[in-house]
Amino acid sequence: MRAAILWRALRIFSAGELKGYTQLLEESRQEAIDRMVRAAEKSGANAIVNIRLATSSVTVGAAEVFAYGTAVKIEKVRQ
Amino acid sequence: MMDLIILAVALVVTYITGTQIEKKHFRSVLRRERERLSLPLTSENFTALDGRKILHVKFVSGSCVVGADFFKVWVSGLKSIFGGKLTAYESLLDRARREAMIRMKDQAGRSADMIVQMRLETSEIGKGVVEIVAYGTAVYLDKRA
Repeated sequence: MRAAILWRALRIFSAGELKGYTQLLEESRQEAIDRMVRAAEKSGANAIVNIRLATSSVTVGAAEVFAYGTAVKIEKVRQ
Repeated sequence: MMDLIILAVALVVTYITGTQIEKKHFRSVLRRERERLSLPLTSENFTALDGRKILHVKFVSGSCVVGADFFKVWVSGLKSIFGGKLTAYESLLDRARREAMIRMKDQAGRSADMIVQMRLETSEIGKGVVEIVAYGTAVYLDKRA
């Protein structure tokens, strides 16, 4: 009980933003976007529209970040 | 008895540090928001282009992870017994959301003309730890016209 309270008291240092977490998720988001782009390139697309981002917690301390969108191929119409 | 004293000290300390940090953050958020007011931000598809041409578009995002301090968690836990607004969490999430939007605007840069199709995403990644992501499409217009 006492240890729990003391541990929680330590959380005062985290009042507000948790910079480490922000950076970690920022990096994984970039990775997710990169993978999405690679998958789109593989299927011959040259643009991705309607991108959505989502994060979900898997367990405590583990999160899943995913990016999804519609890969399209844009071509100039010759007139 | 000892536990009660530790609890009281923890509550007082986290209340003081929490409010200080929050006030400081709100001041900085307000200042930075004012600096970036010239960049329109909308969740709509497109705002009026006035006949200007789009040079290019870019996907931009910004995020912020916040944790509730001990005082907020404790007070909210007590309050949620009776239900009602949990203002302690409201201000925390408001701060994070605005911070995320500022970061998104920063990623768009000074040369951006507007951000359209903005979306906000909230997700809980731990107990009392929440991540907020803001993302959208930065539009760069042709300024020569």
